[in-house]
Amino acid sequence: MLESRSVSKSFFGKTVLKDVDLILEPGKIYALLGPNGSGKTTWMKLAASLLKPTSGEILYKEEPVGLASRKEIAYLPTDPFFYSWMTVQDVGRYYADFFEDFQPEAFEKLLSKMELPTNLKVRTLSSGMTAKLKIAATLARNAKVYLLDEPFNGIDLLARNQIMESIISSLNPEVTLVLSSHLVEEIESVIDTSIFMKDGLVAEVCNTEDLRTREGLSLTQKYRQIMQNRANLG
Amino acid sequence: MKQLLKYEFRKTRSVKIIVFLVAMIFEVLFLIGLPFKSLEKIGMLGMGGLVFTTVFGIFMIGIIGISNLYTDLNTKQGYMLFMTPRNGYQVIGAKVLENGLSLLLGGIFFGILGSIDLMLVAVRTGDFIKLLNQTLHSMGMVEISPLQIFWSIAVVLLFWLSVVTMAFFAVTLQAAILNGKRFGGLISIMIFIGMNILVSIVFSQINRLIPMGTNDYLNSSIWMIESTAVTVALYFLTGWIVEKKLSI
Repeated sequence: MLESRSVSKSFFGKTVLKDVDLILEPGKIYALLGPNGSGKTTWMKLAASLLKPTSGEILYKEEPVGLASRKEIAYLPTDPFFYSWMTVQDVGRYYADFFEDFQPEAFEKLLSKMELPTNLKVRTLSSGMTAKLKIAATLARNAKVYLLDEPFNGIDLLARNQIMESIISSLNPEVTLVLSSHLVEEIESVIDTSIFMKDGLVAEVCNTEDLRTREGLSLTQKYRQIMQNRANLG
Repeated sequence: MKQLLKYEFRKTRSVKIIVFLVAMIFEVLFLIGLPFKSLEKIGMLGMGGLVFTTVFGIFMIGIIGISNLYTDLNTKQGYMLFMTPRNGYQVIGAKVLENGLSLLLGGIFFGILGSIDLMLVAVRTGDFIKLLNQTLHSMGMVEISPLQIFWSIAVVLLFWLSVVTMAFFAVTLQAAILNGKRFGGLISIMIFIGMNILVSIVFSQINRLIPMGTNDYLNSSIWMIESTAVTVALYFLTGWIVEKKLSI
């Protein structure tokens, strides 16, 4: 469904993503795992068609990502990005204006679940509240692919559980979910496939269940193993 | 496009409200000073303020449009636009259209205000317009009339819109090349100056072909066609860069 074919991206001669090949199928939850600067965000932005690849291509439904794919791919960036003059309610209106798959009722439900008042100005929100708003706006889309880049950044422990619940409840067998996070332990229980990234390369792709049953390793242990091995090799 | 345009107007609302309020303050001062000889100075202050607000307001509408585009292309705020299922031509088109419509509406507003005020002055002191026109005539300039006011505003607005589109092009080109790196603003200004010099050279070459002593209205019509051509050409070029080359 979402396919990355030998995708590379360079900025001013510095390669941040090298020949990334991936095939992401519907009905699965993927985790992009790796340290800062490993290329997770760059790959997500390429898949969201915000960046243009230096070489290779990302296909959605066998077509290069772009205008058409933006209708079905919901991207949640790490950084705050809403217009500062907006209220929480304005954000919902904006999404409703631009995305046909946006469900205002779902947005309101998510806001109330996260205890986020609709009349607050975006510029007055704390980082945790902004993160919740981003999640609510993104998950209120009835998208086919969700790309969630560090969705738990700036969110406290209790709210994280709430958000994880919201993410899981918004899934169905047609949906592909790609999640990037530093909090490996917290997402381990929900992940089907883990994609380990290091220095712009895909280091390994693992089925999380197989990892537990065959190798007897947790996601955290595998993460340490891969990153340390590569560091030692480096 | 309708939705993009709606939000472009929303982004520039505050500046327009400020310009409108300032214009209204000067208009009130002008109206206070008009009927009374003893308050003439206040009236003159109002008139001067209105002229200043007209020029400054039109200038600010362009500047705020350029500044918004720069922010959209060089900060995370750009996700708001470029995550949506809208192409580069639509995004830039909405910005050019918003600027053009704002300039047009601003021009009509200040044009009507200027015409009403001139008529009020004419009623108050019948010889004022005559005297003003005699002075302008002796300086080789055309006389003032409501038609002349609107025509002049149209020429200035179309020219200003072409300048704003040049700036849109410069900002977009630097964003595509520099990808949000430092000195982006400076590079944009340098590209903009270069574009201005190039367009001025092309304009002056074309204008040489116009015979001396041609009617002022025909002269300004050619000027308007040139400005519109620059606006349209740069709009398509900018849209193409956004669509094919720009990374947010």
